[in-house]
Amino acid sequence: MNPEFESHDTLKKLLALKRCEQPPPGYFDDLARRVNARLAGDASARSLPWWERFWLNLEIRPALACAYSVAISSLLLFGVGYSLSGRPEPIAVGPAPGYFTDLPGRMGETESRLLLLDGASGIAPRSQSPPPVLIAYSNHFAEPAPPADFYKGYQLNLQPAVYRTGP
Amino acid sequence: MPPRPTPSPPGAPTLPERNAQPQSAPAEDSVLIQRARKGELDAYDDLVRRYQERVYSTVYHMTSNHEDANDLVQEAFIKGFQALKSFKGESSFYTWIYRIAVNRTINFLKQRKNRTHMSLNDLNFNAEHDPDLIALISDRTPRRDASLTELQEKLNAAMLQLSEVHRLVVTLHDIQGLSHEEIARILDCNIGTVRSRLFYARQQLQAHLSDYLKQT
Repeated sequence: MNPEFESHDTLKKLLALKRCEQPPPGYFDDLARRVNARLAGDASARSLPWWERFWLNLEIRPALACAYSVAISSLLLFGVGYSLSGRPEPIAVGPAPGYFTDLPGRMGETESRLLLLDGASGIAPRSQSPPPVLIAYSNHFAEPAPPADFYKGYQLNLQPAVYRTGP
Repeated sequence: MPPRPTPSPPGAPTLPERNAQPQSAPAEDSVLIQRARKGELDAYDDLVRRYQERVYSTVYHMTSNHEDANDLVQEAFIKGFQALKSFKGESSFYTWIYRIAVNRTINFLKQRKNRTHMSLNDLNFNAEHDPDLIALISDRTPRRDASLTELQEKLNAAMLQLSEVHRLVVTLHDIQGLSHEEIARILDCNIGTVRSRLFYARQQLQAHLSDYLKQT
């Protein structure tokens, strides 16, 4: 490429034409007078409220606006992260460990067997394991079941549900 | 928006009276700013007169429209007066008012996108007698019949095809003659950014004006 073309010399000479574009004679006297008259005529518009001055500052300093937006975004992210990390761990609810294994013994003669799903043969009893039972020991909200004597005061006749297999 | 001409408050000296006062050494910007902050409009008027031509020139070359430039410059100076309290003196008043004018112009151009209408000022006497321009038209341009006015229109149309930031650096550097450092201060960016924008803008202009810039 032509080095002169590359250095934009001709373009710079052409751009000099723009310097010759001048407003009508006397325009600048009129401009200053109009600015002065507008300021003098509207005394309430002589100063801006603080938020408009702040906004103007952001407008004329893009770097400041950028810094503010980064700071606000960081604060927002920190707040969201903090609120998530501060949430308490879910508490395991339900009967104490070993409650179900001891249950058959506590229930005496009650028989129960666990139903296991066998892909080939369908439902088969699992006799070698301790006979479990399916009893609703918690409510719909997965809260622990109340103690056994909880309902005594209400004189409710409650009995644990027992599910058995076979006829 | 057309300006609202309103009379000066009673007791305030009129502009001819102020101009008629004996001229002493020009006051420092900082002195005028202090007085303007106290509400002295004639101090601010001095500041406006000091910088209006340069600010107008930048805005005009950005918009290629005299009426738009007139409105934008007035708004910029009025905003400047209203926000004088927030002027901390970290930069010169010139840089500060330039920033206000430039940002308002860029916002205006973004809102007015694709609705450009040129209203060009007349070329002054210098254009017809500038040896570089005469040489450019008579010797180097393949279209020798191109008149100065036609060239002016083509040049402005090419300028309007640049993005706002690229047009701005060309205006400030190649038309108004500001240094890279001054432009970086006005745009609140580093000098490398100014240089790269300037180079890219010139490349674009060169492409848009290739018919007028070809070597013979």
